[in-house]
Amino acid sequence: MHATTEQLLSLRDGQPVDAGPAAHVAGCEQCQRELRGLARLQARLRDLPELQPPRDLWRTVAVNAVGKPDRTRPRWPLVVAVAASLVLGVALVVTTLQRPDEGPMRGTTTDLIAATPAPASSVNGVTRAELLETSRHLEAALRAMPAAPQVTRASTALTIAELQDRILEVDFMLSDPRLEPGREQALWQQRVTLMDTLMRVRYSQLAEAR
Amino acid sequence: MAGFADCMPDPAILARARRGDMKAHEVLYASYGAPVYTLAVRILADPVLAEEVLQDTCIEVIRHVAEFRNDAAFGGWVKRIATNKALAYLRSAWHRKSGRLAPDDEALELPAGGSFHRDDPATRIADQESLARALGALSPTARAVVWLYDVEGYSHQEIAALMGKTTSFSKSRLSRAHEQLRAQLGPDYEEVSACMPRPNSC
Repeated sequence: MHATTEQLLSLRDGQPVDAGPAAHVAGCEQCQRELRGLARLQARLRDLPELQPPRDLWRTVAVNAVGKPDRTRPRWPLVVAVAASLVLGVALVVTTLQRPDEGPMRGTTTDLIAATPAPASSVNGVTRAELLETSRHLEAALRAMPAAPQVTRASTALTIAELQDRILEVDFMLSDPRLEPGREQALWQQRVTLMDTLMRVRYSQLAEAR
Repeated sequence: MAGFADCMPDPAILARARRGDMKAHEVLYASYGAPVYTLAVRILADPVLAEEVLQDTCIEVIRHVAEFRNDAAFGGWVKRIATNKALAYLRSAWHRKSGRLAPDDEALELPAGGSFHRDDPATRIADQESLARALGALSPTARAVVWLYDVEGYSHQEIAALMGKTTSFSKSRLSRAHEQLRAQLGPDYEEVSACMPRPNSC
């Protein structure tokens, strides 16, 4: 009986094979031909050309990776940052484990975010004053979030940059003194929605880095 | 193909990369980018997913190169990261459901065609293309086993550990994949040419 492909592959790679099949292959022209074919196929696979990734991929890999801190400088800021991140992490875990009727731990980012009203875009009939208040809360919550990780997925970093640009655009339009009240209300609503989205993306960015 | 074996960066570049120098990381990327991308395309048969694998691998290298101390084994370390990332995509239920990958045990049917090894570049390129197509038509698992074993040099034990399967699973997938590849590609040129009457050049 001829050798199986598995036995021939073992013979090709110098792995142990039972004496019977090995002796058969040594004297069988058909099995020898199969064996040579398997060796040639491996050589052809290894001979396949190397593929080049898209040229600009490196630039989009880790846009936030530039400017990693120099280790020759004093490390206190880094130590403080790590300690702050740990405190925040523990606070987030504790908050998550709390019963639903309990509020988040006071003084944490979670507390600040929890105190932030729901995005105005999802609330009907909000006033300009309420929108301004929500915007202020979101601004504070975003400022209180830990710094962005040094390495971030390109897609996340691009989304954050795009949201920040759009918020700047809205701010620029809001600075127009001739703005009509209806238009101003719509812009404030847009700003709140954008900031709310930005906060969610920043959360996922931090979760991604853990 | 150069591959990971040639991925041996200068220790000074690695030292700079460990300090967070992104220029050094760019130099490292220049050495491992193509091998990682090639491995991912060959295993996943999807250039878009391969870019994801490359990005994920880069981020892992940037984050953990400071902890990696064996300079001589840098290529092997990157290869291991890339392999794990590619296999994670292969296992991903989302990608299976998305229909990008064929079901595990079904290889796509390709018309069998002679792909003989000849010396002229055009035939050689056509030969490589048909081999790449045949490889891409294998089931995802078979494709991964063939590439990891025959090209990247992983042992059956290592493949079994990477895939969470047994050694016999790896062996049987490899032999089945070889049978399918040879069926798709047809007889080898050398064997055929030996049997065929040669035209008289006189």
